[in-house]
Amino acid sequence: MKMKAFLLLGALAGLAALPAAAQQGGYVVIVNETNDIAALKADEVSKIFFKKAHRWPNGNDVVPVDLPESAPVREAFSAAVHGKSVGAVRAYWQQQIFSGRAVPPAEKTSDEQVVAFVRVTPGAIGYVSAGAQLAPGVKRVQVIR
Amino acid sequence: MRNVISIGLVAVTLALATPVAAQETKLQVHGYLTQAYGAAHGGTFLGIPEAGTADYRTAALQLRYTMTPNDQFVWQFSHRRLGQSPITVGEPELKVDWLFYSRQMGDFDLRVGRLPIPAGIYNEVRDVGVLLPLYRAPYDFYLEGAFTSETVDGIAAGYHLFADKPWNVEASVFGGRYDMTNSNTQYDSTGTPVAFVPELADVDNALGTQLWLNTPLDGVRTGFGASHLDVRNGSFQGKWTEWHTSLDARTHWVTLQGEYRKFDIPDVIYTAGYLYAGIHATPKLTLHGQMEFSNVQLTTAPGAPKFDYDRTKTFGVSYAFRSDLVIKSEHHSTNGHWSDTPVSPIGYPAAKVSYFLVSFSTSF
Repeated sequence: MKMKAFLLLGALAGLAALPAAAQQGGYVVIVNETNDIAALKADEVSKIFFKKAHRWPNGNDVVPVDLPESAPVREAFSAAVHGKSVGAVRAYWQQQIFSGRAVPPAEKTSDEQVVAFVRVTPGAIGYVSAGAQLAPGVKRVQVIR
Repeated sequence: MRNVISIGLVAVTLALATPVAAQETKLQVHGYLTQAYGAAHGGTFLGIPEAGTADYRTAALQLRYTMTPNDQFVWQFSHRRLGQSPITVGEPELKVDWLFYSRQMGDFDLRVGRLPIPAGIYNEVRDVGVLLPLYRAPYDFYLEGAFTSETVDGIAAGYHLFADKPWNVEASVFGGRYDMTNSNTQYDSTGTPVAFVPELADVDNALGTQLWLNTPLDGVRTGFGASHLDVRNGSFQGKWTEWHTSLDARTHWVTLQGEYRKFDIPDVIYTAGYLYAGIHATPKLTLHGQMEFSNVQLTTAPGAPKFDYDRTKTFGVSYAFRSDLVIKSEHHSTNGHWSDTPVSPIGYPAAKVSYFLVSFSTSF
């Protein structure tokens, strides 16, 4: 009995020690380190990536940057943040494009490119794989559900 | 020449057809194509003859030049074929559909130039097959070719109120002018109607609004819009007013839509509406059902008669290989006065014409 309790406590402790990224399903959201934001609600992140939110509290324009549809982390991000499949997100952007209103965020081909873009763009926000190497100049943002 | 342009458009669209993906270049190119084959029974409807036609398509190429993240130029040119429809006689093979400058300022946006009119669920995307449940937007409500316009030469502004709230409002206003093609009846020397003929009209002082109330339920919204315009010449010269209301509910399994509108034009009140239901049997397969109606009330004198102008029932099925590659098959049963032949203007017996369309749509 003691052994079972010990194993259970160990498992819980291990879960608690997991980085936030893993708890978010394999992605981390990043912004430029000059951005004061430390945490965002999932629906706020969703609005940013649907270009429904345009400004940071500091007045900078929000510049979301995406990964290709084929990236596994994009599927995880879409499901967790938008609550939609990548195909449903694509359909949303078709509606925006062909009504002349907006185009989707620019895409970078890899985690490294997303990190590099966010590092040099003050208003940028992106997401990368949980295990991606984050360079100086970018910081993680906690996503609250 | 027509075939060369059509084949060229098909080839370019298919060659470029890849999933919508953001491009980093300042110049972005998008486009769509829907190619259909249709055949009618009991007459000709919207250019679809009993013998059938494949001369039925919509296509467009859109160029978007991004100067800054908030400043863009959009140029779209389009091509449309409606088979043997008299409405498209004289219509250019390619026309400048849109040409406007767009500026985003926070939750406020401004567009100036030739731009799509925000009206109802589908007016801005009425030719985009991958976004429409059926080949065209519901005809009684949106019309096609005549008595309607997708675009205005002028200005449009939009504002997203309470954008960060579960209940929020997207508001648009527009103003300007446009050219409109109307349809009029041609009679022979005995007074028998023989054809519907196009009639060009200048529209000035167009002014309108569209409001969408988004609800906390994802995909569920309701809308209201209204417009006023001055038709300067032709048989329908005078001041037109219009209002419409919409319900748009798109869920995982079912899409339900309904819209109603009322046109008040000189001597006539035109009312129209539709109910649409789409059952998403699988993520790719959708079953469609739609009922449309329109009525005409003459206002030339007190007690003037009211006519059931059209009643249409539609059933269809579509299969989306991807969201940008869709095939559809649909059957429409009409009972009214919209058919090209028999020519049956108001006061003549309603014509029963049915037609089917099979189509494929793609976009990039």
